Amino acid sequence: MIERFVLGMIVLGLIASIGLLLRWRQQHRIAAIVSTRSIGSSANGGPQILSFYGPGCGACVTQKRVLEQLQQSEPGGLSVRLVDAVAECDLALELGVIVVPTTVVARPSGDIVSITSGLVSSDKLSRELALAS
Amino acid sequence: MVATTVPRGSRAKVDQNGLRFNQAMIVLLTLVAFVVGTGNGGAWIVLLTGLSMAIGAALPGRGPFQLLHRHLLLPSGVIKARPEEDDPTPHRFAQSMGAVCLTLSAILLFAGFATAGWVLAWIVVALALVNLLFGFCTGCFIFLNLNRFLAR
Repeated sequence: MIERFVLGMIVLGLIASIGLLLRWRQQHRIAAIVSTRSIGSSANGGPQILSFYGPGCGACVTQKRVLEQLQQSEPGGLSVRLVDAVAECDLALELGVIVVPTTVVARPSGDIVSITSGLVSSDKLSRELALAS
Repeated sequence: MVATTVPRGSRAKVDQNGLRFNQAMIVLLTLVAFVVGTGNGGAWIVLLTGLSMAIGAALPGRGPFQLLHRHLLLPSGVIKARPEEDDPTPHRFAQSMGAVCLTLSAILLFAGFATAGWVLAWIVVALALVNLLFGFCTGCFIFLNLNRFLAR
């Protein structure tokens, strides 16, 4: 039983280590994209959001609603564009999108401020938009 | 822990700490099952864990882990609730998949196919652990990339 416990701990440790390594790699990649990529200037002079969605993604529907509410509450012409991560696969891959929803926040100039995977709350988006304005 | 019947993508709140507790229980119980071994009831622990997940998926909020979380851990203050706007659908799907895999794992263990049974159980543990530690949904990742591959 002791041997099985040790083996179990080793396997858990391996899983956690591989997960940490992959997460570090993805964070590193996102940081490089954020510091170097641009998505093009905003048409209305306000900050921009690209929201990547995909098939069968219920959280993407929730994210869309969060963005709609934000667009209504944010003054200054927030531009929101919904992007199909499958149809626009090349753009998604360039911006490091590996799951959906993924939300890209950018300045009016197109310089990226943040790329966040998973559902993002309106509070967090508001903070990032403050950085983007 | 998980919102009860709501339309897909509707305004539901999901207790994120409840989700984490659920994932931690899956990891812990499967590890305990592995340690005690098939001959000492390990397969039964795997089966019961799978059935608990199945109940939680079929009847949201009424699974044994969810009941334990809501009626013991929350009132005692051991865990604090952290409800956030979220869609319960993918979590229920993941719960269902985990239930199927653990039940299949238990069947394999009872049938004497220990290696196959434990490999399947450890896959479930790996996916739950990755979600628990890093908030990463492996199923979502696979589903998106499968669709990308098929679209090319």
